[in-house]
Amino acid sequence: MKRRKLGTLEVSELGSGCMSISANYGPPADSNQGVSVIREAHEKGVTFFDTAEVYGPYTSEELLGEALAPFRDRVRIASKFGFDIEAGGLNSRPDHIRKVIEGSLKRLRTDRIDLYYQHRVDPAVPIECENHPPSARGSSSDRRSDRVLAHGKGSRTQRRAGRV
Amino acid sequence: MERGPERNGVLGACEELGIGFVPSGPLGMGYLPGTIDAHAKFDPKADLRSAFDRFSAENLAANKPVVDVLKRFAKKKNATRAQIALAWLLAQKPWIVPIPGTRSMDHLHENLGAMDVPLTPADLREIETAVSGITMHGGRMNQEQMQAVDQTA
Repeated sequence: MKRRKLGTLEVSELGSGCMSISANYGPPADSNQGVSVIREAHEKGVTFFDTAEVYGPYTSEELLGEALAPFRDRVRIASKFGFDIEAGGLNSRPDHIRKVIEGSLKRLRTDRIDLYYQHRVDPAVPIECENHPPSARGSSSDRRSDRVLAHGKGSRTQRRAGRV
Repeated sequence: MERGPERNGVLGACEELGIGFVPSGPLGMGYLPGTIDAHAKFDPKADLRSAFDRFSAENLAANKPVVDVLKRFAKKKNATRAQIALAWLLAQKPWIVPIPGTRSMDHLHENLGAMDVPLTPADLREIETAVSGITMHGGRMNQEQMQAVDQTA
């Protein structure tokens, strides 16, 4: 399959959206079926798989983690933060992001997320702050420890985020 | 179905800054393949679309002209409506990566077939002309949900 560049991230020109397999568009599919469809997509050349913490919640990341585990190194995974699933509402505070990424990594059975999107902008958190959490400066933010290899935005903030 | 990013500066900012764009719901959240009509029922407990404006019975009926355009081009290109929709997205910019989702092996193969549907510049102009006169009815989610979606560049 041909490839395309998302910024610096090279992926197959068609990706695979995994939300609807296990969440949000009706009852979840049988998990064996879900795993089979995801693996068949990879077999046909898809190397870009999209999920989010909030899909399910959690079940979409779990399914994708299981399906991609045998060939994790040959694919790119996109996931998303931005909701406060336990308390409700939005939350992009740096400490919250650092906490929830641990859950996403565990469910995805990996040590890195290739593209980590902010699912919704949190009006309470300036984008410059969310990108470079002040409390993490000088220590190991998620970016610096290479667990997040690329950062994505819903939209507005590209220009502001691009400057920091 | 959603032309906002072309007009609100988002795609322009992506191009300028070298950022890729991943359109979610590239098949209109299941509407564009043409199998969902005004009689479709969405389980309010399990299907978010039950609360989306574009999936009200009224709007499902009102938006049918876009499905009809896809049907016409599908026939012309010996493809399916889903394939035309994905091929159109792929043809817009080389840094757009659509992410169709499915739990069906058949739909997966159908979606992947979009890459074998080359749309010529003339096809793209013809599609643009055909859809430019169509008004889309209903936001892609409901108004309260859309308030949390940042649509500016």
